[in-house]
Amino acid sequence: MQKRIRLMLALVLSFTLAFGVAAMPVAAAVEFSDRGPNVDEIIMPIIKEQTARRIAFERGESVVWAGLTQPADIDQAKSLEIADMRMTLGFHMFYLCFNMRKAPFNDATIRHAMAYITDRDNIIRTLFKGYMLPMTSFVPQASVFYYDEVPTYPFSLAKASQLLDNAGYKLDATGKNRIDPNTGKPLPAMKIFTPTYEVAPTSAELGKMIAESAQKVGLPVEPEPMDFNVMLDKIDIADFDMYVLAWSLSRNPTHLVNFFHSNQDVEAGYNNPGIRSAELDAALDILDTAPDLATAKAAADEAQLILAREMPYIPLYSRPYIDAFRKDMVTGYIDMAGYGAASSKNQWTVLNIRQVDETGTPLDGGTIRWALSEEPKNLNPTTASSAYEWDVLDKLFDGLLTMHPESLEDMPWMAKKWDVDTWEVEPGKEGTVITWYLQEGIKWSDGVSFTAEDIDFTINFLKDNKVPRYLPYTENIVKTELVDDYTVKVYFDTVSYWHLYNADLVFLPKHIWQDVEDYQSFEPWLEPHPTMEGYTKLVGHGPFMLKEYRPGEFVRLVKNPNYWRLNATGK
Amino acid sequence: MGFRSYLFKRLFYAVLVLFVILTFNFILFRVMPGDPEKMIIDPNFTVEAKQELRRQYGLDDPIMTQYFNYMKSLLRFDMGLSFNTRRPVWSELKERLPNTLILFVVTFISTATVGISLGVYAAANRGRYAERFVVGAGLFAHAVPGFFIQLLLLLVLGYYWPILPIHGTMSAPPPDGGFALFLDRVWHLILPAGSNVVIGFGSWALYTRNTMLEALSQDYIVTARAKGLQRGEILYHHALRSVLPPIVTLIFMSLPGAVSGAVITESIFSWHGVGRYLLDATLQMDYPAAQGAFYLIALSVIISNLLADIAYGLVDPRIRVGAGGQR
Amino acid sequence: MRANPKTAQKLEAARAAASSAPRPLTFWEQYRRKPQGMVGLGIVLVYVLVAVFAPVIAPYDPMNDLYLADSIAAPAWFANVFSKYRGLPPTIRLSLGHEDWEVEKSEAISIVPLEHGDKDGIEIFMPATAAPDAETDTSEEKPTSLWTSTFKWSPFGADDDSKESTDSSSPEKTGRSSLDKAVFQHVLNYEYKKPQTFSTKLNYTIDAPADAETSIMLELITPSGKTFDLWDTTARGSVEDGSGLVDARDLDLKLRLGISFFDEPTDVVFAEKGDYTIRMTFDAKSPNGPVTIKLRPVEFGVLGMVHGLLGVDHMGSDIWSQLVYGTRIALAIGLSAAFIAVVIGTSVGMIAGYLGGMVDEVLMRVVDVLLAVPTMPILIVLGALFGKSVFNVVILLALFSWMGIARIVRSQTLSLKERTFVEAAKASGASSGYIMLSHILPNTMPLIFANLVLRIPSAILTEASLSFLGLGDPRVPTWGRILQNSRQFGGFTKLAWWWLLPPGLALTFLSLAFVFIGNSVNEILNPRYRERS
Repeated sequence: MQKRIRLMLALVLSFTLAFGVAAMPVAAAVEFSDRGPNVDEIIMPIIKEQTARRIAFERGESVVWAGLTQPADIDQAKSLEIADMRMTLGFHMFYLCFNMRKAPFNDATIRHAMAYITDRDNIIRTLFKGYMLPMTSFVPQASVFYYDEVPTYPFSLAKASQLLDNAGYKLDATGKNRIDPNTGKPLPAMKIFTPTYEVAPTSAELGKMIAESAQKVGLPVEPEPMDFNVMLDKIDIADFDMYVLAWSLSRNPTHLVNFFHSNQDVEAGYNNPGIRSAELDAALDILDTAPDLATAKAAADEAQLILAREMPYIPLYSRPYIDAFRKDMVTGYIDMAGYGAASSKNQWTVLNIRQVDETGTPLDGGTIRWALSEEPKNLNPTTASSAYEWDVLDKLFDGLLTMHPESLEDMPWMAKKWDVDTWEVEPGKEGTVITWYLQEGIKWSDGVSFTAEDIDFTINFLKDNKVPRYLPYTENIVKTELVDDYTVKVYFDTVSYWHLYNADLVFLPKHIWQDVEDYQSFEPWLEPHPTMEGYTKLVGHGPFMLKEYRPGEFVRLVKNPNYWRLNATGK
Repeated sequence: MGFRSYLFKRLFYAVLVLFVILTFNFILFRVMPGDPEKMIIDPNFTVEAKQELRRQYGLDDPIMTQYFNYMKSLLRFDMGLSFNTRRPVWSELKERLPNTLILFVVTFISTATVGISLGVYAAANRGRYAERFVVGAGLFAHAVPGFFIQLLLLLVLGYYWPILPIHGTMSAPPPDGGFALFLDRVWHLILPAGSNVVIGFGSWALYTRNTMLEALSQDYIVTARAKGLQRGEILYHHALRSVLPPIVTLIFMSLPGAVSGAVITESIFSWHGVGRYLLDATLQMDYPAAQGAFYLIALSVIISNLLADIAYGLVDPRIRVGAGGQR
Repeated sequence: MRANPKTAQKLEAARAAASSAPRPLTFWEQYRRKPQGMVGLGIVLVYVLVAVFAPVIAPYDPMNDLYLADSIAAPAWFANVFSKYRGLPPTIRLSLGHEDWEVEKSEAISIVPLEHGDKDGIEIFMPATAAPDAETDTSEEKPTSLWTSTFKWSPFGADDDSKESTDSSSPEKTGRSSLDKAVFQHVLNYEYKKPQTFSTKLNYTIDAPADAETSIMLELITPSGKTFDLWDTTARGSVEDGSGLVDARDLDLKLRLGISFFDEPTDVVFAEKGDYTIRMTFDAKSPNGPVTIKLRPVEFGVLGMVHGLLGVDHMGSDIWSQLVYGTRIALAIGLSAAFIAVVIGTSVGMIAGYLGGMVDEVLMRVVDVLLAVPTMPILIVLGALFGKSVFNVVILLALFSWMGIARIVRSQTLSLKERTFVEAAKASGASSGYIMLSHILPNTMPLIFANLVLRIPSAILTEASLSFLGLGDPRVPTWGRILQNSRQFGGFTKLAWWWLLPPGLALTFLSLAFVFIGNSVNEILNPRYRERS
């Protein structure tokens, strides 16, 4: 199983690379430019209906049909001559969680038996037509922290039965249930909470499949589809046996700390299985406060090893990004491991995508149309929380750091370099201090210079207002220090390698936001800009700027003429 | 009792109904599961951040404080912040209200026009095939589930022969120039409004026909006919005029039903309106948003009921205005 | 009714008294003359029959029989009607037992049938081999041996083309070839277009010494003679409950065939018409004892691209069965919701009308409030609150639809109250309850009945709309839910009108039938109306 998954990962990657190159007239798939953008305007029609997006793609009203999940859609997309199918691994994880606080799930035997009866391959095959990747560890394959030297539990009813028999869970007279050796009574009915068939038919069906499989070895498991919010409420107060849900994770393995550290086993915390293991806590503490990448990696490996042994979750599958592009209309979209070719986090596609004419020759400038699947209702960067909102906002803002599309390594971006040091918070207590050295000459889209002062302002603004969305990032920041216009230091009260990313936020233009009294009711995209006619107070430093947003209809972005990475030709 | 006291009484009931609905609305959404922090599913979103979010929404206040704040702010059309988008609900509703109104007014006018003319036509052609056809079609349209007709039209005209736009209220981006813009809007209205006409004309046509036939059998019409008046003149001058009052009332009374229809129409045709907003908010348990939308819908229904009562009182002086609630 | 027998008797008497009033024709005699009403009744009767005999009419369970065919497969009869669907495969499921295989083996190997259910499996007994030092995985090195090469492994062909020449010396020592294999072949005639998926499943148990090495290989040979190695395994020692599965949807198979994530294995291995050969090769190297392989019947399947009367939905569930069972739910929901609404409406209307005064005022204000509540939004909100069970939906539908009936019954009661027989009863000291039940209720019965009939379709339609909006009971196959599924899960992408049309038409005809009945009843009960039409 392990071998297979690693092999698969390698092959999957080589597919995308090999096919990417082959499919493209210009070898643009692996090569990418860090300058751009190559189009003047992006019109993003908001098309909520899946089928309507398909029609839009087929008619050329969108150059991309992004985020395909349903087999019917994937099959339809790949049958189209004009479609270039892209598949990239994602940071998605679908899992089954046990409530380890109570019997019988406090017994690892039951969890292991459940892991053995779970037939991932069959789930992926029948529910997703094979368009998912099986997952056996607690970090998605796309991450560099993925560690596969962990014990696995390949599907085997016989193994599960054997395991249960050996641990004393004997079948009772009916042969349909097992006796708990600790109580001497038959096992109680165990429920798997799943979302309803309406909301997530595959999850509901998956719960049923696992339950049926468990029943075959005499575990009285039953699926119980329920309303999503009811389910979340019950999970919050640990009133469940098992449930299935998905996480959307990120490049860094810090989610392991949030999910499995015993100090997160509180109401509304994310340690839903309620795992409390001193050994695991030790590894997670190291992971959380690792001063460097190597320490973090070792701790993450250790944690994954313990988790695979303990099985608080059964990781089930990971969803890859599947996107179809109109290869007769555009080129220059870049596959980015973990983020997909068409997601907003992939700034390389945003910079590199360009139109092609009928002969496939790349063009400069022009308008492309890119369908959004949801309304980006809120474009206030301090409160916007959905992926649909960031689909737009990410194109308007740049980061201090960026990631290489293949290796996902940090690359300097608006910060030309950075230092990570420690300082003495108080006698005997060390903290991290990050020093950012900014590129000079970066301007906001309204022409005002972007300086260290904006960084200083933003961090303090978010901190002072206790903006909930940024609280996890700012809560450890003690103070900031402006060294000069292009250098700023951020002081943390703890030591952690991850503070580097906590100090790289979405920075706000001080000259606009300093007058904002209530950040929650401020709607920057609705208020006209004080000096720039036809634009709003939604000022960023990304490749595009917001020209028009008609709710329910479309978003129109135009190239930011003040963008600091414009092509050398100055177009 | 005169008209004024009748009006006053109606107004009082309207306010009473509004109050009951608002309180009900408040209680309902407090019992429902749903929290602002549930909307942010991010492994990095810590317990402290969740608590801060709750505090900022005032969800930790005592329930009566929440109730009074709710009542007070609703009067000022302040419906709080949506859990989902964290924007003021009222500014989200304001964005959607024009779309809903446009669809509603266009649907309404065209349905009433088509329905009433067919009804008059059927009455005028009593006993002929034309009448049978209108009655048959009307009955059929009345019986078919509305969303099914809409789905069929969407499938046929949007997908099989993709000739009509299937989402939105305008092209993205809309054309420049007043008339082109107007045409573009009309073009996008064809499917949603047209399908509503198909669904709705039946009951209008049948009602008009029945009322007309009843009017035609009245004594004064018979007298008019006996006096040798032209058939057309009788029909349009006398009969139609006498059936107008009940039809005017019907217009106002069908408003609540139209609101229900709007939820479905808007979700089928991806129409950015209030009905769809309510549905989405409810499904996501975003209760400030759902409350706000519900408040707006209930308010419009109450106002239209009030208008129906007033219109009824105005056009029909025979009404026994004192008889409590009996219509 | 709910009253005790004595009251019921009185009620009977009262009703008899009421109907003794001059009426030339009974209700049924009048109704029989309405063609519209009879058509409506006929349609309803058909629905009732379908609902009652659903288990007989529907070939499958609407909820639990999944993966009957490939997702969103078209109706089977399309293959005869539309050229686009001609030649598409139906679902093929084969269970290949002992007698289905053509066997090639060495003499030393014995093969006997293995009892397993209604189809025999295979038990293969392989005697021990010698020369453990010469162990090589020859089978692994020749993954794509050609069809003809199989015949080289004849019982006495001790020397094969193996690269390991040292091997050739070993057979003589034991009297059995070291490369003894058992080769099983099954020829399958496939005369359809390329399917989207196929699968083959093996379940085996190996009983062998710990150092034995047993290998199993599964190949598919196309009509044009190309051989594809679909799956193989090499096991050491005994294996309990081993299984092998080849499925065209698995990434494993795609990797093995060297095609990409988005390619279809069937394009490569299943694109021809004609005779396919499924071949299994068993081989064992066991110096220290015999090897016994028990093989359950091999399952081979192709998920059909056409199926049944109305095809299947996205989960491969039979749409016709869903439609048939949906009839039950629709009728049950319509009848029960309408009945409850009528009971509430009648009670409230009668009490308000008869008692009058404050009671009347309060009850009618409640009616006013409820009438002002927009029904669909409140049902959406309450449905989300109380959970999406059919029972809740029925209750909610009833709670928000009794007001019209209450008003009608009230005004009827108001006029009945003035009648002499009520006055007489009142004068004789009868209680209000008695008068309402035995004098007023029977006289409002026809009116109530007409309203009951008209409420049924509206309850059914409202439930369908709720289901369609995703607020119905997910465990019940209602028509609204079929429509919702078709919209949400690919019915529109595939332009699957056969998925959308039947539930919609079923709803339409049922509601039309009730409207016909309601109209006819109205015509009889409402003489004013009767004169005109």
